[in-house]
Amino acid sequence: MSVASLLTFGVNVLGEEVIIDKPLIARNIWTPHSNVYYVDKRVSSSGNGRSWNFAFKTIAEAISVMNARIDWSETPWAVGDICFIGPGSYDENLTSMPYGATLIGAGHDMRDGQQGTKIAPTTGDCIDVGAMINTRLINIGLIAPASKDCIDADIMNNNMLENCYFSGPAETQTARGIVTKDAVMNKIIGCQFSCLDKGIDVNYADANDSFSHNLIDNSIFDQIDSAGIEISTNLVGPSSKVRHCDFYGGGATMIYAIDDNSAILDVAWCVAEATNGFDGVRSVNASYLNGSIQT
Amino acid sequence: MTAKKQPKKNKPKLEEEIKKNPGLGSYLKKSGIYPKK
Repeated sequence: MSVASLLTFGVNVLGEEVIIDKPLIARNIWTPHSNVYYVDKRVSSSGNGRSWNFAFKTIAEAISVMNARIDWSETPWAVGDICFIGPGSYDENLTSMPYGATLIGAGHDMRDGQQGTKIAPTTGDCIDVGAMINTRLINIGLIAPASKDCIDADIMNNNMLENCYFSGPAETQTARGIVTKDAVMNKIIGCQFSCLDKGIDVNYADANDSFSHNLIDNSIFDQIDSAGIEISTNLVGPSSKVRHCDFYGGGATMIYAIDDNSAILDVAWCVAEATNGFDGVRSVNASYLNGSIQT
Repeated sequence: MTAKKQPKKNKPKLEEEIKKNPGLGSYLKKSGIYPKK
C-alpha cells in the first residue's frame, strides 16, 4: 500500500493540490470491520476509547467493548480489533481476554513501566480467565504478586504472545508465568520469564487435554526456582517446539530447565544452566546443559 | 432411580465463562476445542 493511498488530497484556493488535514480514523487497516481502541491510565475519566484524547482509563473497559462486537454465529467471528495501551502500571485483574483481538503495549521497559506498559495488580492474578482464544499480546509486562500468576487460563488456543515480560516480585520466585490446562497452536516469541517459581506450567485436568502444536522461540527463562517449563503427566502432544531459548537460574537455582512428564516437547538450540536440563522431553538436539552438549 | 452421574468438570472457570457467553461455548464445541472431541 503506498503512502499516497493513505492520504486524502484536495485543491486549495490557489488551485494547488494539497493534503487535506482530517482526523485519523481509528480503523485497523490490516483487516476489514476492525476498530482501533486506546487505553491511557492518565486520562481523568474514560471516553469512547476511539482516540488517545478520548481513551479508556482501564484495559478491562476496552476488552469489554471489543468482545461485545463479536457475533459468534459469523465465520470468521473475530473482528480483529486492536487496542493500544499507554505507558504505565495498570493495577488490574483481567478476568476476560479479547477474543480474536490484539493488545499492544506502548514501549519496551515492561518491568519499569515508565515508557512501557505493565499490568501489575496489587492482589490476584494479572490475567485469570477460562478461555484465551485467538488473542495477540505485544509488548506487555505482566507482573504478578507473590504466589499468583501472570496468566492463568484454563484453555489457550491460537494465541500469539510477542515480546512480553512475565514476572513475579523481584527475588521471591513464588509466582508463575503462564498456567494452563490445555494449550494448542500458541506462539510465544521473544518473551522473558523472570523471578518465578515456574515459567510455563501445564497441568492435565480433563481427558484429551493437550499441549500441542505450540512454538516457544527466542525466549529467556531466568531467576526461576522449580522449572522453566513444566508439563504434567497425561497431556497429549505432539508438535510443540522449544527453540533458541535460554534457561538459567540467575539469582536462584533452577531445578529443571524443562520437566516434561508427558514426553511431548521437541527441544533444539537451547542453553540451560540448571540442576536438571531437558528432563523427559521427546527429543533434544544441539542444546547444552551446563556447558555439555545434549543429544 | 439414581441420577446419571455427571463427569467431573475440571475447568470451572471455563464453564463459568461459557455460561455467561453461550456464543463462545458454541464456537468452542463446534471447533472441537472444548469439550475435546
